Amino acid sequence: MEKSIRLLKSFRYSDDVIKKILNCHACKSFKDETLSANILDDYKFLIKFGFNRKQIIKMTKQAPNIYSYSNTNLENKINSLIGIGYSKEEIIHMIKNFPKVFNYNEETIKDKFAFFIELGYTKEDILAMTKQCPNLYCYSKINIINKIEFIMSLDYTKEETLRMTKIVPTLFCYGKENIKDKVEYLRNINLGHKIIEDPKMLIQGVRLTFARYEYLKNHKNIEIDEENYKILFKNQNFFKSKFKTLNSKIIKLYDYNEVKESKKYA
Amino acid sequence: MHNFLEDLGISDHDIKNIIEFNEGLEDYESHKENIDLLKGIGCTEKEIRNIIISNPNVLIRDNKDLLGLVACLKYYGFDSLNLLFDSNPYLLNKDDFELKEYVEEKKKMGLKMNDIIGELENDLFDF
Repeated sequence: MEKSIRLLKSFRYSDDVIKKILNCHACKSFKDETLSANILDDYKFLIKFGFNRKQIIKMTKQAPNIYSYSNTNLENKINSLIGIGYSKEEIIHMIKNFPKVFNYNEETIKDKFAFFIELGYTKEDILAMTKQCPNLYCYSKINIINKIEFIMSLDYTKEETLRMTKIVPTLFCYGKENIKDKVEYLRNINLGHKIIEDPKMLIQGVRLTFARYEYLKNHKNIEIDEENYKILFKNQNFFKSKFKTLNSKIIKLYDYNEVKESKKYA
Repeated sequence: MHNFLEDLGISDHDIKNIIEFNEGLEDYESHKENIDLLKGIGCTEKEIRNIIISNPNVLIRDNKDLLGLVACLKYYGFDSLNLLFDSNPYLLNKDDFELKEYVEEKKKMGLKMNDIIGELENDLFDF
């Protein structure tokens, strides 16, 4: 594999990544001549498409089998994504964040698309959701249906569930315990009805939401309600400059896990 | 093989999903060091569970790359990385160079460091 190694070194791949690429199941079966030709053509193609060197190294490190495809194959995969409706920038964004997208063929992607349409999402919804969360392509249909049913079991209608997942598609990736914890806590502090309107509240970890809520109530005499609740979800710089405290400090004062455990055994 | 996932309290169903996501991987034990890294930055077991279930990719990331990312976030002044990753586990898919590129781009647009950090935290999905 001398030629392939020399080539990868010239692109400034480290020795351990070179080893990973050459040992990957899909590349292992190639002769040095074929693999090195693929590497060179693919690298040139990806650069021309708009990826930079560091991005390509990162992508092929995570998905070394990319080099098992010919550049025509890669081009076809990209063209099929364009055909579905993604822009060039969206494709770069998606692939650099989740290079495994390259592993899916046109039929698989179209099939997943049709499945989401069947569930009630529009084409635009799916493009936006998968751009934000390309790993949705990786989840099985059963997994997706299970997650929708689980959210509905928390007393949301199908329409509300679709709305929430359109805005926060990562809900499909979160564990059930995680979602349930967040929803239950927000309901406990009378913000449950805000979740449908503003599902981004479900992004922040419940531990931080709890600590901030208690801190504001006990140290700043601020009662959180539907008018001012957004303060709980502000970034840490805002919180630091406004209230002169750090997340790390308030989390020590008010630990959600400890409170939850003590309630569980009370 | 998946004992350390079970030890974290991850259910059989979620372990199955993690394997489905990281198809083709056999030796998960070798990726245990990424769990140790999460523990090292103060993640509780529950936070680690949330992170891995939401983003199984964390397990297969190169440990050196994750260390670089953590160092970079600390350098930019992020406090409580455990809370940051619990809220956005997908940030763990990034490399330090991507973070630096983002910061440089925003600086060119005239933003101050404090604003960039704020934006980064709020727009984590778009960068």
